[in-house]
Amino acid sequence: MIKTENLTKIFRTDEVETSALIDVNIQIQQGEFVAVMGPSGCGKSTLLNIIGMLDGITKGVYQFNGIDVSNKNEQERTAIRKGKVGFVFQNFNLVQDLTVAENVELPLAYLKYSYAERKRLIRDILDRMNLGHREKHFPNQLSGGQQQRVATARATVANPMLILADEPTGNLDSNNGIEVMKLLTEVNQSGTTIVMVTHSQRDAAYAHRLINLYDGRVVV
Amino acid sequence: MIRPDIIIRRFKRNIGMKIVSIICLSIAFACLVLLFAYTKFEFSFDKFHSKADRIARLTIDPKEGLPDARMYGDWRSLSKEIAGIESITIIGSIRQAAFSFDNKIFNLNRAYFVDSLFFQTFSYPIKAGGRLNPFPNQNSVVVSEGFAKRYFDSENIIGKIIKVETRETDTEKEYTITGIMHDFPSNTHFKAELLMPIPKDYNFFFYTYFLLQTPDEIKTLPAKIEVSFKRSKDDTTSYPKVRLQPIGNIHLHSNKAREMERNGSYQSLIILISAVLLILIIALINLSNSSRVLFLKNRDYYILKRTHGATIGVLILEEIVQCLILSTFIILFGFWFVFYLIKLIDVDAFSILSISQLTLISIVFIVVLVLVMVLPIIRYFIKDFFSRNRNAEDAYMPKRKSLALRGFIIAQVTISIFVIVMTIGISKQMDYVLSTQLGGKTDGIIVLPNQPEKVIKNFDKFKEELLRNPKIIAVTAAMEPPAGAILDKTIIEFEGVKHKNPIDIFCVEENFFNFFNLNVLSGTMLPRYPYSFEWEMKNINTVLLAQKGIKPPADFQPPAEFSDYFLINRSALAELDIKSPEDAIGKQVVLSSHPMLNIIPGGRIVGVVDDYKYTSMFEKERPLLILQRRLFISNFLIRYDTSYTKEALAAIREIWLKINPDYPLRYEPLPETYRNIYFNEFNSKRFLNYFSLLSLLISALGLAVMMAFFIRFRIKEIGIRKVNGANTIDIIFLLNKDLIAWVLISFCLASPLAYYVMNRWLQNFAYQTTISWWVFVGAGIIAMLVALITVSYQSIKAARMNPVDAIRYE
Repeated sequence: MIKTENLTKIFRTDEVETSALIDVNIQIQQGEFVAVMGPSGCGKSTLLNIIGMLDGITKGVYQFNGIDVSNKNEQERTAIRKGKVGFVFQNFNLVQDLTVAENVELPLAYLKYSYAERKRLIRDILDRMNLGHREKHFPNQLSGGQQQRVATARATVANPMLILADEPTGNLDSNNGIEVMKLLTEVNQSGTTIVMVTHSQRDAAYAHRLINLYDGRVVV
Repeated sequence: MIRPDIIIRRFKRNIGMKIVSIICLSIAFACLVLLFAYTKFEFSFDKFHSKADRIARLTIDPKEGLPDARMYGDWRSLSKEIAGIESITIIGSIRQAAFSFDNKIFNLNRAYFVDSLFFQTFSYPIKAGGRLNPFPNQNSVVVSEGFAKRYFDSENIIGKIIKVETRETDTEKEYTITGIMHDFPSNTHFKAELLMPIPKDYNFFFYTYFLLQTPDEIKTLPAKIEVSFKRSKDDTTSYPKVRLQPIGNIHLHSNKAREMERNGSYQSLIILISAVLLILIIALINLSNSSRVLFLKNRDYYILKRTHGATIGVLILEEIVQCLILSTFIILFGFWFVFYLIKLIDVDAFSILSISQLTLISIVFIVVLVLVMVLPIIRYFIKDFFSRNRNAEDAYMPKRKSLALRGFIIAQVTISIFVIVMTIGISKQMDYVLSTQLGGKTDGIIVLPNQPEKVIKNFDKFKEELLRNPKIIAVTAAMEPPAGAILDKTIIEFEGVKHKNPIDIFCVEENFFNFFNLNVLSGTMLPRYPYSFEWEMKNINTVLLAQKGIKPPADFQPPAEFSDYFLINRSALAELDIKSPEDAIGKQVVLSSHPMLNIIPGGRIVGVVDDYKYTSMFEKERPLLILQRRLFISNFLIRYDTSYTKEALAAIREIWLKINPDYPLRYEPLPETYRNIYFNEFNSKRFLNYFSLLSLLISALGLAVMMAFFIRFRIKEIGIRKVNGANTIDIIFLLNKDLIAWVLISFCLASPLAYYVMNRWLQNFAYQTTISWWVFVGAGIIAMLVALITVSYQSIKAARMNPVDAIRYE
C-alpha cells in the first residue's frame, strides 16, 4: 500500500539546506501496524507527513495505494488523501471552537456524506470510543485522554485505509496512553493500516514491525 | 520602571497595524477639525451685529404658501403703531441694474435700496461717511471697499460720481459716493457692495427688518402685526399669518424665494455632522479593536514583566504612553490632512478656529483616543490574565464569535452600507432633478439672466442677429430664470366669472416651448406677439392714467377686446375646473388686477402644455397662465450647436457687443443654473461621495486588520481542517462565511434605517425619484465586495498554507 524508492526530503531556507530524509526505501502492506522510531530530529514526523501526503518530496518516488504521488501538488494530494488517511497527533489538534461531535465530523464534512449518514457515523464512533455522553462538550472541557480519544475517533470516523499517528501518547499519562494504544490496536484489527511514530518502546510493542530512522536514513 | 528606549522599540513592533490606525484616525481627526470650523462658521452668521438678538426679519408664514423672503410694501409705520418695536428698516433688492463712470459700463450686483436706519440697525462697519446719515441726499450712494478697489483701483473715492441705471429708477441718474463701508464679513446673509436711498414713491417688495425693544418680543409681535395688517386693509380679505425670523437664524433656516443670497442649509449641515460622526465612530472602532488585539498579542511581554515584579500600575502607564505616542502621530498627520482637505472643500479651518480652540480639540481628541485604546484592555489587568495556564490564555484570546468584535465589525459595515445608500439615493435624486427640469441635461443651452431694461428692449434685434448665425439653433426669453420662483399672481375672470384664487403668471417669448421641444397637449402654441416693448410701456402708462380718470391721448388705440392669447399648463386644468385639455381651447380669460399685465383687455386660451418643470422642484408645479409680455422677458436663453461651442459663444459675444455695447455680457450654462439653485443638495451629494469612500476605506482597513488577526488565531484550525481533507476553496469559504454573515446582518440593519432617512430627505422635494430595491442591494453588494476583496489576499494565503506548518503553529 505504501512504497517509497530513494525518497529524499530537503528543507531549504535562505542560507541553510537540511536533509530531513535521505534515500528512504520502505514498503508497508495493507493491514500492517508499523512503528517508526528514532531519536529527535531523525525525520520521523517528516516521513509521516509525506506518507500522509501533507508534505511533498524533494527526490525519489512515493506510491500510495498504487498511485505515484511524487509529483502531485497540494490540491491533488488532498484529493487523493481525502477519506483514505486519518491522523492522530501528540497534541490532539482539536479545534477549540468546535464541539466533540463537530470535531469528529470534520473529515466527513469534506466527503459527500448525507447529514443523516454523518450523524449516524459520529454517534457510532463516539459510542465505540465511550464518548457518547461528551458529544456536546468542547475540547477544553475534556481530559487529555478523552481529547486523544476524540482525535482517534476523528481519524477513524470516515473508515480510512490508513491511520498515521504521531506520538499519540506523548501528552498522556500511562493509563490513558495504554487506553489509546488499545484503541489503535482495535482499529488495526478491523483492517486499517497504522503507521505510528513513537519514542516509547512500550507503544512500539503494539506494532507488528519497526522502522528505525537515524539522521534521515532507515537503519536496520 | 518605564524606559523610553523600550517604549519606542515596542512602538515600532506591529507598525503596519499602527500605520493603519494613524491613517484612519488622522483622516477622521481632519474631518472633525473641518467640521468644527464649518459648523462654527455656519452658526456664526449675523451673530456679530451688536443688536443681533433683537433684529428679526418679517416674512409670511411658510404655511401660507407664499414663499417670498420679502414683504410687499413699506411697513415701517408699524413701529409707531405697535409697542415693542424700536425701529424698522427696509431693504429693496436692485435687480437688472448697471452703473457707469468714465464711459465704462458695468453690471451692478449686490446693490440694495436702504433707508437711513440701515447702519443703526446693523453693525456693518463704515470706513468713511456718516453712520447716522449715510445718504445726505437722494443722489448719494455708499459703496464697499472691495467695490472701490475693483472699479476705481483706489479706496479714496468719496465725492466721485457714478451713473446708475436700475429698473426701479427707470432712467440713468448720477450719484455721488458719500460713504465707504468695509467689505461685509463672509458670515452675513447678504453682502452688499452698493447701497443707495430708496427712491421716492417706490413701493414694491422689501426685506423688512425689525429692531425689537427686547428679544422676547419676537414671540408676541406676530399676532399684533397681523391685527395691524387687518386694520390697514380696505376690504375684509384675510391677511396671511406672519413670522419674525431672528437674523441669526436666516442663513441656516430660511430657504425662501428671493432670498438676498443663497443661504446655507441646516439639513445639509446635519447630514455633514452625521457623516463625520459616523466616520469617527468607524475609525474609533478600528482603534479599539486593534489596540485590544495588539495587547493580547503581546500577552507574553506583560506576563514576563509581571513575573519579574512590574505592578499593574506600571503596565497601565506603559500602555498609556504607547497610546499617547500613537495619538501624537494621529494629531500631526490629522493637521497635515486638514491642509489638503481645506483646498478640497473650501473651509479655511485655520482662520475660523483659534489656536486655543484647535489645541482644545486636539487635547479632547487625544483623551478620547487614549480612553478608546486603554479602556477595553483595562479588564485584562486582572490576576488570572497573567497566568501561564493554557485555559486562561484561551479565555482571553479574541474569538471570532466574540460578541464585541462581531458587533464592532457589524457596526462598521452597517455604517458603510448606510452611507452608500444615502450617497446613491441623493445622487439618484439630484440626477432625477436635473433630468426632469426643463433642459437640465441638455448641453448647448446658456442662460443670460436678469437683463436690464435697455437690453430687454433690444431682444428682438438680438435674437434676429443670433439666428442669422448657423451655429445658433434657437433663442427665447422668459420672465424667470430656470428654477426661479414664479411669484407674480393675478386675479382673473375666467369665462366671465371672477376666479376664487389668484393664478400664477408666467411671461414668455413666443418661441419658449419650441426652444425646449415641448409640444401642446391641445390647441396651438402662442402666435406671434404683435406688440413691442415701447408699445407696452406707453400702454401701461395710459392704463394707469385711465385708472386715475385721466383720458388717454387722442392717438391711443387700445387693442381689441379678447385679442390676447394664453396657454395654460396641465395643473391649471384642475384649478380652472376644465375637464380635458381640448375643453380649455377658446375659453375667455381677463386679467383683472395687475396693472402691468392687463394692458390687453382679455384673451382666449389657445393651447394647453404639460407641466414642464421650469421652476424649482422643491415645490409642486403650480397652475400657470402663460402669456407674452415684452416688458417681463428679462432672462434670455440661447441654444447653440455643440459641435461648434467655441465659435457659437464667440458669435454670441460679438453680436452682444454690437447690439448692447454698453452692457457686459453675463451667461452661464443651463445645468449650471440648476446646480446653483440646488447648491446645498449638490454639496451634500459631494460631501457624501467623499464620506462613502472614506467610510469604505476606513472600514476596509479595519476589516483587514481584524481579519489578519482572526486568521492568525485560526491557523491551527486551518491546518487541522486541511489534514482532514479540506481543500483551498473549503478554507477560503470557511474564513469568509463569517464575513458574509456579518455583511448580511449589517445589510439588514442598515437598509431600513437608510430607507427612513432617505425618505425624510426626499420630502424636501415635490418630485422625488424612487428609491428602488437595487439601491439597497447595490450598497450591500459594494460593501460585500469591498469586504471580500479586502480579506481575499489574507484568506487565500492562509488557505494555501502548508498544513504541516499550520498544525505546528502555536
